[in-house]
Amino acid sequence: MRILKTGISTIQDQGRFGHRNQGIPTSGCMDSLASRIGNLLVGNEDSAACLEISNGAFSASFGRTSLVALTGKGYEGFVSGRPVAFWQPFLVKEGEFLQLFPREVGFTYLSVHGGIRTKLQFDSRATHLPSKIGGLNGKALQPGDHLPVSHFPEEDGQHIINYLSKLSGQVRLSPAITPNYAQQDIRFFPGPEYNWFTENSGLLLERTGFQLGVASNRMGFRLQGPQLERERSGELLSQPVLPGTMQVSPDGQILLLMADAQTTGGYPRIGQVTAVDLHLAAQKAPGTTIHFKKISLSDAETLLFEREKQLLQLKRDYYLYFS
Amino acid sequence: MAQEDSFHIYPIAESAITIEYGREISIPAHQELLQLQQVFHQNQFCGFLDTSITYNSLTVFFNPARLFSEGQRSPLAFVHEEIRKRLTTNSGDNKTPLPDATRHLIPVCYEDIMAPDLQAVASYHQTNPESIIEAHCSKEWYVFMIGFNPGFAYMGLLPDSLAMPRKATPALQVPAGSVGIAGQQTGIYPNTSPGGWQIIGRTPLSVFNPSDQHSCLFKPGDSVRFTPIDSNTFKYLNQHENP
Repeated sequence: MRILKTGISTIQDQGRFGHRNQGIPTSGCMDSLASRIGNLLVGNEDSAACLEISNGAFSASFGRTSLVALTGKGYEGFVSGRPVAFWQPFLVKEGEFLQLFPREVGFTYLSVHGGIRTKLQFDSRATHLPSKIGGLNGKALQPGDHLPVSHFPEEDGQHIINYLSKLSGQVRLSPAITPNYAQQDIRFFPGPEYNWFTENSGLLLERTGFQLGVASNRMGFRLQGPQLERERSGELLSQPVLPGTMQVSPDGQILLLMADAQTTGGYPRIGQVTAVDLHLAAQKAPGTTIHFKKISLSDAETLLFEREKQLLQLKRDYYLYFS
Repeated sequence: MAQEDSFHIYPIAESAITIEYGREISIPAHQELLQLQQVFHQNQFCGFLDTSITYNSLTVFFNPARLFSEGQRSPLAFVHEEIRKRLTTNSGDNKTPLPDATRHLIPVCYEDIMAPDLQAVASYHQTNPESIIEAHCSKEWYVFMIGFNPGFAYMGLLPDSLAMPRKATPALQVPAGSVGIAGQQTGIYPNTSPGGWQIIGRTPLSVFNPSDQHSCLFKPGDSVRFTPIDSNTFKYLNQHENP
């Protein structure tokens, strides 16, 4: 697979674990749900690497026929001029071009059967641009880059390829499983330092909208809203932070940490965005307003259980359909 | 090991539980956390991903999806119980030994051009730069944690005669290898980055190199002694890409 044109696109997977004691962040896909569904559609394991595409038009050519899927938000896709739908598998034939044109702000995931096979670095292929780790030499994709992909389909993939090449058949996912990016409410549960803030700040957090700042990136989103006031002064000893952590900086504003977030931080953690909603927050454009909704951690865990059950069921049904 | 109830265990996400041990910074308490960390890595539970140590806490990361697929309804309850079991077994005579620690000797050039804030630190303590350098090189510092950026080691604890608050406004560009002071901590910037620490020198050694298997020079529990070098020696030893 050869990159012909790209905005800011990186190779990502489900993140890097086992090296936090060296200060190495998780990284991985901003919208991990979209990328997991993409992997599922092309017969990959969750851990397979894909392309995260953003900030500008993208095109690539394929050296041989490939089973691919587009998921996420922000783009319209075309294969040699024909429009292709998101959230369904399709074939790009040898010598054909896949083009993506931006329609709104967002991350789109290009999954290829067999995954992108770049070298593992610290047990992951995810690109962390600030420290030049992972991906292709730690860098964002450039026109001319050749990406290693597998040429030998595995069983599940072969079944899907056979189906798609025989019929002009389409496979659509139930809308119940695809993310609702229009959802404004982002659910969170209180963080370890929630009680460091005044009761009024807790109310403001739930009752006011917070606007996504322009200086937002894969490391974190700066939110603009009412100033959250501390009840308790004093410094926090550096504590672990992770994607979804809502830190409050000394000026009383929220910093929502995202995929490339540092591993530790010294600002009080007022909340943690639920794992089931973090991918929705990740796809918000600068200037959009987020409404936070407080739930309990145990409800968050139940929601996650339901989500994973749904994904597992989808996987079973999907592969059964082709076999 | 101290009693189990001196540990404060609380979740910070659906996928992470923190074990906090004391609110004060102390090396013996930190070493207990290091022992505990060994226990988690040597005796891994289903879904275990990673641990992360700070001054006074150890956080265990895990994959809830993996635990759901093994039939667990509440991964948090499951991991909390795994933590409790390990706290109970890792006590008294059954304590896991401390991981191997390395003692590092790190050359630092404290000359003006590499030490933009050395004079400010000296003025803050109403002394001269020479005595600041002498104090900084006078003893071994303990590595408590790596964080902020890959490879950034937080070491200490500096005596009051060396400690100084962070800068009010962070510098936009701190060169790789810069050695700084922030409160009772001292540390080395692995890469050129913005930073708020008071910079009193620079080491020619690369402390984090992602292309190397042993990429990170320091690990929690190590100790570090600084030794002064001149700028010619710095040039001779320099491992940074962009000096």
